[in-house]
Amino acid sequence: MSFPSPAADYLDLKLDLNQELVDNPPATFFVRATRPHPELKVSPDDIIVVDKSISPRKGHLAVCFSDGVFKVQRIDKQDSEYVVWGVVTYIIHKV
Amino acid sequence: MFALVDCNNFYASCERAFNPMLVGKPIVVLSNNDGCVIARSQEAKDLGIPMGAPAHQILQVVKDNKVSVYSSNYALYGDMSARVMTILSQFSHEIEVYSIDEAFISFHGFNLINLEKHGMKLKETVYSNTGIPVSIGIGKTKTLAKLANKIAKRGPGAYSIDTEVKRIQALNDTPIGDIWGIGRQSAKKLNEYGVNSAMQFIQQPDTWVKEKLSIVGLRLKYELQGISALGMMLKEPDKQAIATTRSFPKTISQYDLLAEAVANHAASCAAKVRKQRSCAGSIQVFVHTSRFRPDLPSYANKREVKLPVHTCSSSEFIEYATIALRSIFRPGFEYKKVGVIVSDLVPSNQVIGGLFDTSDRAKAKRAMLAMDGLNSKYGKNKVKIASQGFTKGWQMNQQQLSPCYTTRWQDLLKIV
Repeated sequence: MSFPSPAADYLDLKLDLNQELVDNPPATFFVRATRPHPELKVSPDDIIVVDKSISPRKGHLAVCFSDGVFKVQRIDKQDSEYVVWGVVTYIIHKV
Repeated sequence: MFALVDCNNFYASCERAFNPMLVGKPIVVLSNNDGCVIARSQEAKDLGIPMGAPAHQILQVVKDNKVSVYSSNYALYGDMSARVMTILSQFSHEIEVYSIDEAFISFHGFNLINLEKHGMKLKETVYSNTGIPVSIGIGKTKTLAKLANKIAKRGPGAYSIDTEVKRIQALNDTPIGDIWGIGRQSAKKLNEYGVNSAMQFIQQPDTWVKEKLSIVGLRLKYELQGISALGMMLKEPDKQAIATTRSFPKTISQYDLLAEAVANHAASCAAKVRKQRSCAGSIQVFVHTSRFRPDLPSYANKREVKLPVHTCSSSEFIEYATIALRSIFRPGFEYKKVGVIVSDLVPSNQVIGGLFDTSDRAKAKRAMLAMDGLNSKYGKNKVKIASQGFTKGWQMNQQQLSPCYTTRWQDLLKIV
């Protein structure tokens, strides 16, 4: 017979990164960066977290579609050169 | 009030959600093995590509019109469907998922708000959050909601049959065969009696309707009159039988390959049975040669085997499925399809043990739980029973599969 752990009553569930990184699960998509954008702090292989439920505004970092490809960029002005696919909420970067 | 939310051209819309280049372009999605057309974008419908057309018959129209062709990507469609349904459940507590791309939601107690506007908001939310366009029909009954949905699809995407004038107009405009629940046979029968529109249908006396179409038809009449006779099915009833069947891309004559396919189908049935926390008492295997090759000798057979004790163990399913296959396999035939069907399902906590059962069921159960856990974490069939094999000679043809953008790390959408 061993001693019961004094921490048994205080056990919490393990931390789940989804709780921290995903605010709106059905609208959140993970995408993968392939090119470096030092000015946006994006590196190749980074996982970019996109929440499509956020209305895009000037200054938002966003995944946009233009010239047949998806690009990560800062929304500067509301013009028709690109379509905003979703607003970036986190960049997961391996150091 | 009830609403029916239906995703527009769902499979094509899923492909488009991750590839905006496809917007406005014709898309078709093919069945397992890339056999025939099972989904079309509006543009593909407009080109006259019929539902169910064999892939080899549409090659020319595909080439001439630059139609994008995809293999069915159920991992993607399933995930996108779950996202849409989750969003719908934020608009109402009562939701009945009717199929992969349709759900009823109940708006009881929403009387004070403009439901058509509410429906429009729902439609916009689903579209901006997932990229999937939906149509929403609203009515006093499920059948009227379904009818309103048809009207919504032709118009702005949300339509409510919320007045008597609208209801009567919709019933006058709709042929009875287009009403949800009226099959082709029933429609033909009603037409013979001069009943052509939904309006003419509800003008018939109850006794006449019941005589011609049974109580089911009478319920339908009430529903069209605005009296709710079909409630919400909030929990899907557990399935009574579970099947996994596949056609082979090419025919197979060797027993070993057939046995490997059967082992995989049996394991897949076992995983599905465990998922609904059931155990099966019976397992059936069937085989047949191609129906489209009259030049080859044809053969079809099936064998059902009773399991000694109800079980959900992959290895037991495979063991008995293999026995069944061995008893019906005949050499010298080119097999096109095999399937495994398990039935006599009971909840796993109501299984009666066998008097002469010597196997350690608790241990087997732990092994299966561990296997399911690993497979849900690392991907389907990462851990499997050895007889499921590795040859893959029987596996599906999926030449045009798009990436599983939302369910596999290596398939994530690429950003430049």
